[in-house]
Amino acid sequence: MPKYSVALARTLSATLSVGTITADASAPRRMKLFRLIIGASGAPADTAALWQLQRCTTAGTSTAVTPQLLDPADTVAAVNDAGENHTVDPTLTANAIPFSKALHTRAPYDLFLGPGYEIVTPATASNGLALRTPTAGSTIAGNATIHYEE
Amino acid sequence: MRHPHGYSVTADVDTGRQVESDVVTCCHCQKVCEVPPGPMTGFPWCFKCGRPTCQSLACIARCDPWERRLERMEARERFHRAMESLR
Repeated sequence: MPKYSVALARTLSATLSVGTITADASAPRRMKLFRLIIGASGAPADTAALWQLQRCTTAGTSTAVTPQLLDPADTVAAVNDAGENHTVDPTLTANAIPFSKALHTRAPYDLFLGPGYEIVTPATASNGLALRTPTAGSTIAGNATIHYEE
Repeated sequence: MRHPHGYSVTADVDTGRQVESDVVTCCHCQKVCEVPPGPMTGFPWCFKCGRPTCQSLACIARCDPWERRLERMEARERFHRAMESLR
């Protein structure tokens, strides 16, 4: 199963998602997130943000991002859809938050999950994960890289 | 921790030092939980799954593995698609 990398960016917002990875509406496949790297690229400030991955059932409205293959020998294009810089948030599933971490904007964060322990989303149309900052102390530029397998 | 499910790395803002933590994922909801150093105490355990769960009451009270929940979600989707094709 090929592995992909998606880079997401947006000015942190308490109401709109940084980005999403959702199953394709017509040919859904499971997605297994195994690495998440988050940080802020804006001018350093003494502020913090709460980063969360929340399950969602629609993709919302966003700028499309093309997932990049981690192994160039793989030739299969990603089926799951990625988006960043949302203008309309995805439909979030209440209390379905597999990852939540409050971080200082000066502190980057790298999460790695071993084989068999990834965060898995269903092969159901437009279901997936939204990366959000529901509490953001400033409007600093936030960045995230997600590695996943499908 | 002897068999972590993964690890996280961040930085201590005050000292600038790298901070590493082992993590486990809940077998019922997949929530990522950081494990403090030392013996793994305070984490509920599902004896059916043979894996730790998160502190959520729903995950402690009932064994409903995530894989089974995924299968239910996907079966529901297949059913809806089949019903739509009959219209």
